[in-house]
Amino acid sequence: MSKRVLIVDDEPLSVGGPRLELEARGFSVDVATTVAQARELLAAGVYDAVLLDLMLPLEKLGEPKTDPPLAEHGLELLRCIREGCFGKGTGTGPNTHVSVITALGVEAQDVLDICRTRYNPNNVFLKPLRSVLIAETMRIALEEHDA
Amino acid sequence: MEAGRVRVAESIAETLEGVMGVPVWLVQNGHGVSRKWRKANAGLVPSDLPGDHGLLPNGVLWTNLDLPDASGQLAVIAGPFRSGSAWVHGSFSSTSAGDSFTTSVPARPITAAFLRAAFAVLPAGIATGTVSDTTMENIRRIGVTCADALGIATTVPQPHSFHRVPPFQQFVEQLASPDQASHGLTETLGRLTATLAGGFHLVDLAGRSLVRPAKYADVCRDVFRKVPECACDCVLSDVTHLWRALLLASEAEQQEPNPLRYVCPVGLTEVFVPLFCQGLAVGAIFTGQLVCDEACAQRVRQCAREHAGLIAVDPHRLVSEIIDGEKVKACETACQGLAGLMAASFGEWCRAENATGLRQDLIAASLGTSLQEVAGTVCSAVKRHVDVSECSVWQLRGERLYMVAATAEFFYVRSGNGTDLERVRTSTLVGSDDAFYELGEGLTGRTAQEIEPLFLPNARSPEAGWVGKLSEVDAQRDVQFLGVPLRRDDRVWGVLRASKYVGATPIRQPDIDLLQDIADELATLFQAKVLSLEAQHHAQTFRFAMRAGAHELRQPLQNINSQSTILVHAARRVREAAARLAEAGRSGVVDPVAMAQALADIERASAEFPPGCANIEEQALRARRQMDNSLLFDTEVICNFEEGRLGQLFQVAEEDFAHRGSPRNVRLVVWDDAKRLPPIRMDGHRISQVITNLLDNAFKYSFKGERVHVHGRRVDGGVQFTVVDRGIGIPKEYLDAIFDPHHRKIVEDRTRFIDGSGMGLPIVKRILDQHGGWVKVTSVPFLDDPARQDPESGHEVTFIVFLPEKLKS
Repeated sequence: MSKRVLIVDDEPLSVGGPRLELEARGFSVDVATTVAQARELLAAGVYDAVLLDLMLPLEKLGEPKTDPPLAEHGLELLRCIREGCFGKGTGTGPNTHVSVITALGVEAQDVLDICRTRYNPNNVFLKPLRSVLIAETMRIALEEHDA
Repeated sequence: MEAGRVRVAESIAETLEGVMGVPVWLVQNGHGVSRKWRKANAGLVPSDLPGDHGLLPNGVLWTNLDLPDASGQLAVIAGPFRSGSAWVHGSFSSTSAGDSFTTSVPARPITAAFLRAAFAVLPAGIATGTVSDTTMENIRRIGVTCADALGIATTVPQPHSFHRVPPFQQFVEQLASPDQASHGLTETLGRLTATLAGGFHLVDLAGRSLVRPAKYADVCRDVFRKVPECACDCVLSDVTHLWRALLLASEAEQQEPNPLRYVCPVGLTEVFVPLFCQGLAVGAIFTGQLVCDEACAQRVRQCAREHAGLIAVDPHRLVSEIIDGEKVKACETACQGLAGLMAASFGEWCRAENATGLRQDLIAASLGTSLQEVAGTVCSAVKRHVDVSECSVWQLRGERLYMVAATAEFFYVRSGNGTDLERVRTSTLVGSDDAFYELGEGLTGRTAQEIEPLFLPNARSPEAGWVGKLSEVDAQRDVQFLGVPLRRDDRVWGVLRASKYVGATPIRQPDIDLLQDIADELATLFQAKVLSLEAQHHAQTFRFAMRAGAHELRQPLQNINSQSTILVHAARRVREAAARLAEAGRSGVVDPVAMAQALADIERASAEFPPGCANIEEQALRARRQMDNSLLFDTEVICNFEEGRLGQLFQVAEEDFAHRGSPRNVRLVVWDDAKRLPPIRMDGHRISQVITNLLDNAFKYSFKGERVHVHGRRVDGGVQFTVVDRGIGIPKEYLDAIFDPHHRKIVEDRTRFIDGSGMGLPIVKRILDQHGGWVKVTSVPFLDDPARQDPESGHEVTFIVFLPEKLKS
């Protein structure tokens, strides 16, 4: 049974590369572009790993509901995953491997610090990043996790 | 008494002093509440004042009032009053019409009832510890009316005017020191000492004797220790107040100081010469000798005999010191000479002291962190060193003067929306953009157009350019106005203005000269501060832009990475399929199905390249535009201006946006009037950015099925175009904020923005600022269309953009 990965990112173009690389390594990949979509998928299925962007809109992408992409939304989702809000049997919890991938950088050091210390992702990728690197890191991390 | 009530009492006393020009005390049950009331002051006023009110022989007016909270009696004591060259005396009389007393100059009866009524408002204010502006107005009126009733002109100067004179003592010490060239002073002092046998005093405004160590009053007290009032109440009186009033009255008369013979009520005469310097009273010389005539000598001898033992000095010796008329004249001449000698050099010294003091304060002012702080320090410094009633600093931004700091409480300015001038509190004016003077409007506006300082001795006239309404009390007093334009590098940065009530000592030429001298320094200080603050503001805006843009820059780079990974995979599939074909070719095994499969694989995989590469190019363009946008806020990056047509840019936009709105069936309509706009000078690349950003905004927030309309027209000086959409609107409070990068937090909270950076609309404003144009937005609700699916009521949002046809240099 292949391991399942959920990629949550509101930029559709940036998902293609990591997806290909992960599939090449035998992962089965789902994609969500909003927080609402991610919650649906997380509640319905069991994921071994999540690749999470921080600046996410809540519900609709590019709809006139003024749904701005905010770092708070991504962090909140991370917290939910860690606390296992999606019910038993979904496999999400403190042990789910969550990698944060974000376009924030030195100008938002405070947000990144909060993310690392309070929300405790397994690691933080800073965009731009080679897709191969993302996939390899996740593969190795999950293998170690199994061992 | 609590602090609040004391403060009220002090301000009342100050106000009355200002109007009547004499010291005023408020005394409760024998204790001073407006200022320290020493027992010694009792020399002016007897300890138990007979009756409710009166005018003492020495010209002191007093009124006893009951405090409303039954905490005793409040006495209002004012004076002594002087009219012209004589003290005002009074006497009581009882007529069938009631109690009244008449004054010596002029003969005008004041009824007791009037006096009580006049001062009756005071206790209420003091009892509660608060007094309103209206009451203060009324108190001013009381002062004016009282003074008028007493026959005293209210043009007597403010008693505070002498406070800013630099220490006189230092000056005299300097002059009298052995290494000074002006031996004239020492000589003259020596001669005076010899002539008057040491019986003269040189005092400064505080009453300190500079030749004799002790205060004159104390000296007198030593001599007349327990003499009853009948003989010496005027001598024991607090000389400080008495002759200070004399000095100020002389100042008001603006004449060459004449020696005065002060005749006290018992008939003793003193020769008194005020020391003036350029119209400024700085001190006095007067004889400590008691010069009297024979009748007076008799009285003093009589008094001394009756009270033998109470007087420390041998009364015979005292009386024997009568000086005859000739000697009086000699004394006067000597005093005058001394005064003249000192005044000449004192003037220079005074000026230098004030200038030094003022310059030191300016240095302190330059340390202020904000323009308000700097200007505030400058205003107080000017008020401290220059004799003015109010001082304020205004900044010229564009064509308008905005207040930065002021010492006065009210100003008459034009409010943003009003056509009339309004009386506005200074606290609301400072830092606000709502109230201002136009260039050339009012005295402040006039000053800004001048090169030299503007001095108007009678400013409250329309010819002078006065703009404002006056209260009844204010209308009685004209104002002198001094405005100093702060010019530097051929540009006016602001205006420093000061004014003073006419009737008080006028703004003197040395003060005008002083302000003119420091105008340059002030202007430099002002300019430096304004430029530094502007630079800070720009730097901060730039920082915001860069931070906001950083996130938006990394996204396209990630997309390029991702897309290139996809293409790498596609290339791999091509290679594998080609390898299979090659293998088949080498082995000679021909499997049509496998071959077809391989070719199909190659076909599919290679088909991914064109769109993939297009994506990469688009993302690269996106990255470049983001970088350009962020750099826009760097003040040194200049646009590339050329002649261009907006119509062309709109046509390009039409193509770009042809498919953008398809998911929700939103379409762009560019009307002919926009396509046919005349050419203007602009940076085409940047203006297309403006158009893109505005259209993006319109598209994103339109309702389904709506159209975005673009119109254009020619206007005076340039062209205007509008972008109109119907959809969710912009809340009224954000209409300005959406263009301000400093309000980005608001922008993030669910209002219209372009991309994750929230910088789209600030970029539009920035580009238009650089072109000398502007952008405005309106959001007008329209009624809900029942046919529409979206239940929210809609707004029609219009962005209006103006671009000048030629750029201002």
